[in-house]
Amino acid sequence: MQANPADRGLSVDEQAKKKDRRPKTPGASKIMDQSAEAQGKLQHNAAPETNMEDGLTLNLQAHIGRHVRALFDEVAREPIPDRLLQLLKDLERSGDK
Amino acid sequence: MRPKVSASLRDSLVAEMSNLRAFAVSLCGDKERADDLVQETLFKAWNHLDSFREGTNLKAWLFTILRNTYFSERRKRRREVEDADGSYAARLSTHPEQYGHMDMQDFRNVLTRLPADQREALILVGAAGFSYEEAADICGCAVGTIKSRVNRARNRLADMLGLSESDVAPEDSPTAPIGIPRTA
Repeated sequence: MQANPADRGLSVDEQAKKKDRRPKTPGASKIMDQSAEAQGKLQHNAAPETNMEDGLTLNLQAHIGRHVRALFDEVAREPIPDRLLQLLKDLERSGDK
Repeated sequence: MRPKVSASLRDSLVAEMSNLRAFAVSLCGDKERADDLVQETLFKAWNHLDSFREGTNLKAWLFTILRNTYFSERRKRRREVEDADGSYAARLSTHPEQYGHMDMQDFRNVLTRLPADQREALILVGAAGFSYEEAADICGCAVGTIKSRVNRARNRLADMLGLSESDVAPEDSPTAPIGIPRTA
């Protein structure tokens, strides 16, 4: 979804006027708040912040980070295999001697 | 003679086993082998507990033992099977088609195709919760080396997955912005 390029150059007031053409409904002001916010994000997307050292945008870095963590956590949440628990018991027994 | 292990140290060991397993799986990509690695790590750690000072970073110590075990075995193995990883990577070197979005399986696949040192750095810093400094200690290299490995790992993943900014919506934004007029 891209904003109408023609809207890009408009001031916030002018954009608000355009939106005023839509029927007034309860909660309309809330919708306008969201759209102003979304507009800000679109502009952010148009020129995403880039970590120069890395060459990837912060969004991309975060996206990759989430997947790396998810893969790791998936394994970390698994129950510990019996043979490892057994090894620990054996080691403890040998330490008690 | 084996050292007598304090109950608290034993509990911490058990508590770290889940993370150790996850790290081992991410290094070797194979759960059977990962459990062998954890087993060997536990065994070594237990027999060298006297060289560990209680109150210092047990997690980092265990991770160091595990990765050293993994890489020294890998070096031995590579002498036997010439560049196993290299030929594996070559077979898979076709780029995946542009994904609209990637699922975890895609991601798991490309992660195994990263060079081992880059994958290791990315997991330590990005998933296991270590600082760049701790990761450098664990891997026995400079902090700058870890940083550049992490950067190269991320770039390579993005490249292999054909990811670009347009594939990635900021976490908290709606996919379709609400209320923006489409026509003037």
